Amino acid sequence: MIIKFSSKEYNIIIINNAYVLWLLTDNVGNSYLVNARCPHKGGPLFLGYCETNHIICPWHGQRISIDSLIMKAWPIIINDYDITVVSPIEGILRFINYKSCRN
Amino acid sequence: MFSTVTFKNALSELVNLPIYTKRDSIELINSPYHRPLPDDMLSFNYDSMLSKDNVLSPSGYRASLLLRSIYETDLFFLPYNSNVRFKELESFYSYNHKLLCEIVRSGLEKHTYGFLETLINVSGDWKEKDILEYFTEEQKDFDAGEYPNPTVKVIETSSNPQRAAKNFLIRLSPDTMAEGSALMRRLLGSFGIAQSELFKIAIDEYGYGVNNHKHSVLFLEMLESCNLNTDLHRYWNYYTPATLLAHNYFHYLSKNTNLFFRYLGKLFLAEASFSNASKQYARMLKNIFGNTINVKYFEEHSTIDIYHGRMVLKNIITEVIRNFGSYAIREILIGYESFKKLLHISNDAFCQQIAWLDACDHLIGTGETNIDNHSLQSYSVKSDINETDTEIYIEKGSVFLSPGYSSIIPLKPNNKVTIPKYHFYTLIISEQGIVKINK
Repeated sequence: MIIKFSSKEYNIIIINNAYVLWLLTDNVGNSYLVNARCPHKGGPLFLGYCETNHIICPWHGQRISIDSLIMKAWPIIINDYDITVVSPIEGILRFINYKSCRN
Repeated sequence: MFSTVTFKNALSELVNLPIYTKRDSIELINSPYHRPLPDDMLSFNYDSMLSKDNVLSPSGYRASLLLRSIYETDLFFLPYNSNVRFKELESFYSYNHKLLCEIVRSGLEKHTYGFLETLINVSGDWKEKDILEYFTEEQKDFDAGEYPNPTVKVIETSSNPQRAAKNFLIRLSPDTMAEGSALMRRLLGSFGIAQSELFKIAIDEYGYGVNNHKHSVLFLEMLESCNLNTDLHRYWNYYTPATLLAHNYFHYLSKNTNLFFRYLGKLFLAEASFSNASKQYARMLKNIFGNTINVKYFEEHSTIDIYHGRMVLKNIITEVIRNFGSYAIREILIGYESFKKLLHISNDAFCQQIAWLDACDHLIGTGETNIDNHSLQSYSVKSDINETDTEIYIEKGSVFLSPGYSSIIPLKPNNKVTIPKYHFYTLIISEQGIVKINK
């Protein structure tokens, strides 16, 4: 499924109330669409605290490296503010804008 | 890239060559080698990169005009009659000219297209199935595009649709008069199936060896049928920065061999989107001009580009990404998205330009006049664009303002006209004419 949205309006996509994806910007300004659920217990990483190379999960304080999130990033294209995602999952979409520590 | 000093010296020598000077006629007559440039080419700094917000700036316009000429030193042009100015031909294709062009080219390219490197980003784990799914969806969207698309709508709703349509055809002409040339530049070498498939497309572009079927010839017949001139670059002074920005991009990609995969991405967008667009343009032109206009050029593209779009995706892109993986995917996507952005900038600018062209009819109250090109020989011609609203004040003499083709507005001493920012215009100034430009 192709998903299109504007990064001016949103930075979080939720698919079928199960997959939570976060448009995360790394230290050099590149953007990635990463799984925003903590691998430990599924906590919402976009609500977490940021360190230079890590996100601290707000639930149990797990330190998740940004590199590990980027390694599993979903395929996206950023064309100015237009974001295109090729999603392997079909379903109902919800878009959210949340001012996190990494946007 | 060459050093700043080498660049500046070469640019200085280049813009003083006779083929780039003498801007004394709004339409260029009978010489595809004469490419007049603004006389202040050296007053601008081409070192920095433009951004998406100022890519249509005065320095962007100047860089794009010169890049057009630089790319075309690879193409051979002859006028359609025997009045060849052989001195200009020799100068245009001379070693010295080509050498100077090559010294300044990469600097001008970076100035003009560098902004795309920061604007377009491809990230994540792209697989073959992902890019094919994306492009297949894009193709469906292009095919489903309903009449009228935004460009057609602006032309049809213009207060003077015939004039708007002629400006649209002039906008296409830098590329279509030598259609297929940028594509052909990248066919040499040895690169397997992709090379053979590209060749098939090139053969179609060139009418499989039959002159009257060549796409460039079909385009010229269309121009002729609505009373536009068919001389190569006759309308050079009407090429807007936005027009040149989009048309030069394919030359930029094919000239730089390392950008081959981006070239494929650009080619896919062009071929996939042009079938539906061509159907719309053919219908629009018939609505506007009636049956007198020959729209074979667009009718041909409305069918052939269905095949070309499929061929590029299934036979070339699929093959290439199967062999060259994630590097090729990323580069193809960058080429595709970059051209999409440039088309967006170019289409928006065209729509704005037509609205301004219409508004100018009321600005002075004189509207379209019957002044022909010959009556304006020996006048100096200054085409430009500004980054701020600019006031033009006529101090003395005979001056004309042209906001686009087929609109030449006479101005008198003490007349003031405000040119909105990022709107292209031409001033035609008599020998005695004095114009103050307040930015």
